[in-house]
Amino acid sequence: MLKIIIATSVLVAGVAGVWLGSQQATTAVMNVIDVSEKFETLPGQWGYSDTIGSTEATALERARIAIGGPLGLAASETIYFLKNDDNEGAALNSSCSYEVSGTDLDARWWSVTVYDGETLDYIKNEDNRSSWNSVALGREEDGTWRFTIAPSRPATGQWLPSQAEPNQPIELLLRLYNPSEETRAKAPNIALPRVENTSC
Amino acid sequence: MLKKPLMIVLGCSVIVVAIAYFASYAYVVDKTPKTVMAQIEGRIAKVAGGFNACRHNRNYGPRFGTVARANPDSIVTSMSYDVSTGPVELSGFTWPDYWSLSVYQHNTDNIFVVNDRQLPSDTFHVIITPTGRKLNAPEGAIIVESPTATGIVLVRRFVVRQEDMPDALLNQDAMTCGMFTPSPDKA
Repeated sequence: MLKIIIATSVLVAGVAGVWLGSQQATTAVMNVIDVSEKFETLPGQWGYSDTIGSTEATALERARIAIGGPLGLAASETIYFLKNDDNEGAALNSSCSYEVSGTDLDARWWSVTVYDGETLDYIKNEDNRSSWNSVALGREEDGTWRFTIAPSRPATGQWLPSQAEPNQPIELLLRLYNPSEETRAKAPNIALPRVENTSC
Repeated sequence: MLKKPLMIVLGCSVIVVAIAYFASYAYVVDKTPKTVMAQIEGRIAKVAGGFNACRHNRNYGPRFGTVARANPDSIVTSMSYDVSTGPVELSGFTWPDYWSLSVYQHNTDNIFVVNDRQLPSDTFHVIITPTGRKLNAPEGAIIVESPTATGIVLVRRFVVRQEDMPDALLNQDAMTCGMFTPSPDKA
């Protein structure tokens, strides 16, 4: 009788353990907003990781990156910065308009791409535009640049469309291709674009 | 005071829960990137006409429903490779505004990347072999050893403006992708 009780208990415990472990792992892996457990949060709420694509990534980092952004380039080629909040720390969403501004980044080329924060896919829009890159982006006389993220086209200036539907999460990804040696050495402590809420 | 049989049941159960928990956690975490990669490899192979064939993105701008956080500024050529029956090769011309060729093994790790500025000319020839396989490589070819039988190659071209697309398409058409065929004097 005791053997049957032990066997049953062990079986139930095994099933429970497998269920708990797989649930916990799935939750950890699906935490794709953070992408990497070592994603470092910087002033201005840009996230940074140099483990994307790296053979040095931990198993959990690799799994999260596979879900949240597979086929990224190793940090030797490209560095990535991720942003879900504005400079005040409020979550980016389609009910608000934002001004993204900055100076040129020291890389061969760079781009800022906007994604739907839930699907991590592009946002459909009439301009078929999801990014501004360092070549196409217009500059001010002093060399700085700025564009607006908003659901509708602003009266003036460069525009990156967000969702027409309100209260949808937005995410920005900054890519630096072939960053200079100095940028690579200093990263992530470099001058990153500002994202300011201009209206809601 | 718990009786001894009950303590045995509890003790065994706790040990089994712990072992099952950690084993299943590790399994899911380890399996996830390989599962994702298998899906992407299958998807690319399907549209390319099989493994070791290239699929060219012919459209400028964002393409919806590809992979999470895709890059809309690159015109990408992709290939799912399978070196289980022998090496695979890609060759062609680089692209002046930015070009890179990257190789991802089956667990998603970016095991190799080269860009146009790192090459001695505007042409490239990359051969992917299983790790440890001896190969009489043609002169100038870059050998990449893949620890896994399958994986993905991406060729990225930074196409600055829509007007550059005809040249980008010609660049894609000039590429060759397939099983490595040694030249007779190297065979």
